[in-house]
Amino acid sequence: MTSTLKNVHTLYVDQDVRDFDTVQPILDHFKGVPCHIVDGPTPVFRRVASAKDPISAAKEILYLTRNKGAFVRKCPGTREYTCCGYQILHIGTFCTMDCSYCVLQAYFHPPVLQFFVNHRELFDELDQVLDSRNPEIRRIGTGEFTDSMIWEPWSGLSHKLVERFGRQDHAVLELKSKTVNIRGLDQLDHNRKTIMAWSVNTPEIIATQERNTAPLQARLAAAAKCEAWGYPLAFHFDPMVIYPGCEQDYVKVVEQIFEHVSPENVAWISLGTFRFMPDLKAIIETRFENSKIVYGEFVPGLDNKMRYFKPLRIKLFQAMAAALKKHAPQTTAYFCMEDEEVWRKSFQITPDLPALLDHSAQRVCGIL
Amino acid sequence: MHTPFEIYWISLDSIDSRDLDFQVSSEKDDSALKRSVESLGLINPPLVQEKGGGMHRIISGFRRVAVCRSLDMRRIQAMIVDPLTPHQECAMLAVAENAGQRELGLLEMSRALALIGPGIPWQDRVSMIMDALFLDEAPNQRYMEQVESLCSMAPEIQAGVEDATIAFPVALKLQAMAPGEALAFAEVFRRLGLSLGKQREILTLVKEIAARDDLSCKDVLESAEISAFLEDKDRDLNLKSREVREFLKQRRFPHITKAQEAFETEVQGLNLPKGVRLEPPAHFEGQVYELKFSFKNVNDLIKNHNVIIEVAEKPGLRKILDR
Repeated sequence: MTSTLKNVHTLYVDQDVRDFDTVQPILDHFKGVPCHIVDGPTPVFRRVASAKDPISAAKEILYLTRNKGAFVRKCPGTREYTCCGYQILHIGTFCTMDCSYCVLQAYFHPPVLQFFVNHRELFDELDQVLDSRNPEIRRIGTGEFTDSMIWEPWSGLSHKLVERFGRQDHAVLELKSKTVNIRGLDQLDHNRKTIMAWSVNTPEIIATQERNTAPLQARLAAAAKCEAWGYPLAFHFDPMVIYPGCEQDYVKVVEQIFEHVSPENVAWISLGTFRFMPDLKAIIETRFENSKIVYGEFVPGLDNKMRYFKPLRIKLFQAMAAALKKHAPQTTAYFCMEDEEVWRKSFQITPDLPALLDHSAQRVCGIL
Repeated sequence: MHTPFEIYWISLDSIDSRDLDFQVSSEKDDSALKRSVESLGLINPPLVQEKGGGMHRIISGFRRVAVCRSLDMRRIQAMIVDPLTPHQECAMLAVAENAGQRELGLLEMSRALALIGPGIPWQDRVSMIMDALFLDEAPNQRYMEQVESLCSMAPEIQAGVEDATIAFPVALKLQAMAPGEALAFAEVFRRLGLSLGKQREILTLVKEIAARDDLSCKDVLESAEISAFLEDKDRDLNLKSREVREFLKQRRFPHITKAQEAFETEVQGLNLPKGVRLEPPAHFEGQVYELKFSFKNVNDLIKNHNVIIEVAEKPGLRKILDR
């Protein structure tokens, strides 16, 4: 069962934003939930940090505030591995779902489920970015520091973004999710400039590592609906987890995807195996006692994150490359944060990745 | 607190040596004390308290009483504490008597702490601890509580800490495990006599193998391979320790170990010139290899100027680099 803020039991609202027109509809939605007006984030941080399990606690406390920094920012890739040149639209942080491998557990200290409500500033900045037609900003997504769709339907932000992107032809918006919160998307003038994307995994991993997320079948059914509504699609196999029989399971997911949707509507498929900051290991061991994912054969990567031993990654990627070639030969597939050797041994190419993806967005979404 | 006591001659038969409530000392070798009592007599009388029925319990001096018994003495002088002296005061006396004689070992410290104000809030207890242990500054609460927990651990773990085959931080980890699991580790650690780092390494490897393979740690530690290493009488401890750790690493990281072994075999096949080493990228993750050779002076370096070409022309090198 997807968890989309149903479990929120406390609201905090920054004094600065209490009168914003974006706030009242949210308060109406959470009528009956205790709400505190605060002068800055400190009381929220204290409340979360004082909990026995701050990560679980943070999933139940919603903080409405202003994003004081940039809304559009470059994805924090590292130079040691090939980066896709993605741009993040920073709408909020953290997530209500609970995946064992989630980097956000260790990324924020403490994690806070915050939603930025200064949408006027967000859209002003977005207008500038889109109007500038910066060739380096062709792909923008909201699903980096949070799940794109957990904030629906009460925020309405994604719907506004879909329509904003539909009125231009320079860049695409990618909404990435593990939910099936797609209600209302059929009513929007998206103009194929929004890619509806799902993180996918094997049923085994979804069942054991992705608490409160939608099952694979539900995600694929939602993707099929979005395709029927004319949206381009994307799928992210990330993180892929290596376990006995994983290759067959992942290949089967590829087959299932293309039983639901047509390859020509898929803008891209990304592949990335599980990697983690060393601090995350203890968090997973504590919060997910039955999880085995940290007991794979990991080595320190060049970016200081733990990664599967390279030959194991390559073996899995080669199986995926073959499956993708069979089922969707024209669809762009790429690696998230892998080096030239992995590209060469799996896909036999070492591309200019940002250009490859921009080209794919041009082909599938019609950006100019 | 000032506890009155008087010195009397009492029969050794009136001392209940099975009453260990106040025992702090854990030293086993009494031969030096025995020699001293034999030649000089009992200089420091033990501290005892009447416990009814004409019997006495020992507050301090368990070893002295034992030595006197072993020397077939009938009566000894003892400092007798008022029978109405509260238990906690006797405990303080027991700790102070021991701490005043010598630096307490970890297990002795644990017993001492367990005697001083158990169940009393730390802020009330800390001054009692400082008094009994002759401390100038308040000790760290968390560390003291960890030390105190030692005397309630399984006897095998206590013995391991006492003979330094189980490091105290490792003992704390064992305490958090199911008893069967902890004892399996204790058994291996006591037999191998490892450093703290190596104990931690084994602990992590075994726990992760067990978690991954749905086994208990005991299953992993009692595997035929580890048992064979431990039982082998021809191997010394260092070799046994290395083999156990290598076996566990191999089991925990089978592909990585295999790749390392294959690389080493292939490099050996290159027959590199003497003193030249080829090293793979760290963890085989990057793509940069290192060729290393050593030289003492410029002439030595000039003599080696062909090393790179010589290595580059080795037929097996390409296979290694294209792995």
